[in-house]
Amino acid sequence: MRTSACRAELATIQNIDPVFFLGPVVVVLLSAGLVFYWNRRRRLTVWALFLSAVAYFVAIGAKAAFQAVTYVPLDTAVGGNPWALGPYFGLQTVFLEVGLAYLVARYSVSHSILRANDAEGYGISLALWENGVFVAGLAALEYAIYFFTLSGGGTVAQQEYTALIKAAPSLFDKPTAALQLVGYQVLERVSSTLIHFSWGYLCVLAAVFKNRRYLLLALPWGLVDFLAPFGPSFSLPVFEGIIFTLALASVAVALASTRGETRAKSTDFSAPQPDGANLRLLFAVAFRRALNFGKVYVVIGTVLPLLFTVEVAEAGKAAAGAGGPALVDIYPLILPVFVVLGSTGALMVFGSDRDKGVFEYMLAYGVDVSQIFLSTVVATVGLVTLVLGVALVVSVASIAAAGLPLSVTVGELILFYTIPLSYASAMFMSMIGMIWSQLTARRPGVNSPVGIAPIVGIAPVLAALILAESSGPGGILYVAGGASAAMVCAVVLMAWVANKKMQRERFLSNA
Amino acid sequence: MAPAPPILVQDVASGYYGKKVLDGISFEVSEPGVYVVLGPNGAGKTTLLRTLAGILRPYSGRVEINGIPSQEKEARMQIDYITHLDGIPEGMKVEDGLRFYADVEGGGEEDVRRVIKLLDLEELAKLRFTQLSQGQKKRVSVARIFLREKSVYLLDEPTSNLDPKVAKEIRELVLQLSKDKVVLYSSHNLFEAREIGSRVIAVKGGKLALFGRIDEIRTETYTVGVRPLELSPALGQGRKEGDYYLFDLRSPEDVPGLIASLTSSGVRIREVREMQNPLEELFK
Repeated sequence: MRTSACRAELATIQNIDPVFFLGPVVVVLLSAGLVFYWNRRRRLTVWALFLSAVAYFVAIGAKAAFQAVTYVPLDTAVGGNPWALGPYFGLQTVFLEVGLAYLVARYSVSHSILRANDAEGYGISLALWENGVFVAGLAALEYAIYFFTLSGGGTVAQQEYTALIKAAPSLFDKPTAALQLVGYQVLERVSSTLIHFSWGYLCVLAAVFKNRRYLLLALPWGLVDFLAPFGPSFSLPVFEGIIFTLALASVAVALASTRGETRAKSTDFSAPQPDGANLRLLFAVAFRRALNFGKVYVVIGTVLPLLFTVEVAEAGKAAAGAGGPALVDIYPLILPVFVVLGSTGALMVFGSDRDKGVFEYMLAYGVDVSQIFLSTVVATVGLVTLVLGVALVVSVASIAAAGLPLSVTVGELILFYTIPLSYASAMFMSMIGMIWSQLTARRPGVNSPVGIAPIVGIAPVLAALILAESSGPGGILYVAGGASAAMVCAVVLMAWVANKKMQRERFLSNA
Repeated sequence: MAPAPPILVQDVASGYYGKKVLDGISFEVSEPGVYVVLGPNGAGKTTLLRTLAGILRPYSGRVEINGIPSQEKEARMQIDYITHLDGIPEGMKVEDGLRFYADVEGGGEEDVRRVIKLLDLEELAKLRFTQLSQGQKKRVSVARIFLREKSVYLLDEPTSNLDPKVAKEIRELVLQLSKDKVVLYSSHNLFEAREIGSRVIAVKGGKLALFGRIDEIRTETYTVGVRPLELSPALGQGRKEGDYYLFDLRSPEDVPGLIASLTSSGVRIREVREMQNPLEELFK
């Protein structure tokens, strides 16, 4: 029940208008809708989705790492001059985002994983990761943190409001003005979708037809980020109008320049998928089985954080009263441990399938070693999403309901520490567990690699925590980012090496 | 240009973890039919089938399926394969297991329904695989090969540990398949081999002992054992071995004549059985 003092406080603190949530929701629906449509009606394979994710997130990680080191010194040196910062941002996007998109496409085409008629799906998938996942996800979380923090009242809410009213006053505009702002935000994401589609499309075709011209047409679209520092120089409608015009031009150029190719090789575009493993269904089955196999671990991984949340809520109140650290601030640091534990089911399925001879049949029927590994990793990612999703939603709601402060720091920790480290550690655990169990003598139960692998997955989380403690307040996110990127790269490398070098007989049962 | 043979094996060596199990194997399968892969335990039968299926990479030589190297996905997609393991993922029901493999092979629900009907699996479809008897499990395992039409079928002891009734059903299905497909059928049951196969691929000590038609394999004698209900002087023509009196004939076609002769002499016969199989000669 709110006291009169709180009511007086609320009179001065405004909350952000919920209409701002509309922006990320629309973008997510748009991006996901495009993916769904292309998958159903045209062609968008799991490989296109996965490979584009690899290309995109590695590029974003590389950009973040580069900017972490160079942005502040450069900005200081040039005094924020947009003509200097423009090329800085633009060239990063050209070489890192577009460049990596091409390299991944080229590798995939050379290994017959992607074909010409995957070009559209690859471009749509790149757009999904940028707009539907990274930008919209980030925005949604940011708005949620602002909204809940400002709703909670108190000192933290006041501090948050003071900071936001200075940095982003438009968040407190009247609904009509806010809606206009949301509209331009959505327009910007639509432009980004078109541009990512264009360069993804051109990169695949450049790789398939070994046509350097397509790559040279794709690369310059990364220079759209050149315009980022010029935003304040234009009114919002004009700025977004320019971006949108360029986006339309990118699609027009991409389609027009390849039309001759698509006409000449039209059978490549309309060629039916060869009779082979339905990977989308296999991955779905792998996830369902992992969930069933590892249901005890899923429950442990989901319930333990919730119990921890209750403890946090109770102890946090007491600690805050005694001037101690708020446990809610360290909750995001502990969560990945439970998530890794909760995602063990996929690895258990791997061990069982090998022992039952399932892999022998799959290899005989044309499934590759890499696809066997990938289905386990995909199932692991699915379990992480489930466990993490439930844990985060319930715990954040519980903490907010308990009246504990949910600061921006906690939000940043969840976004840049908990989520990436959870996914990366679980994927790392899966891959290590699979490779290790293939290479060692088969032992049953908890002494097996499958039984010990969760400890392997938890170890990087704990190591990151220890390193983060010693790196200072600002360093924790870089430690988490670096550790996550390193683990994902290790997973990709291990899968590649295993596909090339691992003896197939290791997939046979001992029975 | 003549079409590529369904199976071409040229000077192939193969094995596990660098250790050769097969060496210098060469043969070509160019006609449909059942090719029985015979050999004692450890001869390399399973290794041969795994190499043909593309599961094992040969250390040397060439293996092609319809002209495509066996390691390539296109070759593996033309093969159907059964091993001695059931290979149904744990926890699955029968229809889920078949659906799983239909997905692996790029098939659909209609293939699963058709195969359930073909192998009379309706009553078993909703049961967990672990609830089935050995014979039922094998029937489900064999059902897998009928999900999608392939050009080459590699069956590794598909009737092992089965009762004679179920084994017979499976052999009949295989014979139907072999009318226009190539079926390699591994067995160490020499009687079964003669019943089902038209050609033999005999493996011994990792080498190819024989590749040819079964009916061309001849031995000097064909021995049958007669177990009588009671002793009779007419049995004196044979030599006694245990409960049986052994008679050496020229060929199996002489057996009815022997039985007729013995019964007309007053011998009451409990059992007649083959005491020597010409295929055994391959392994001496």
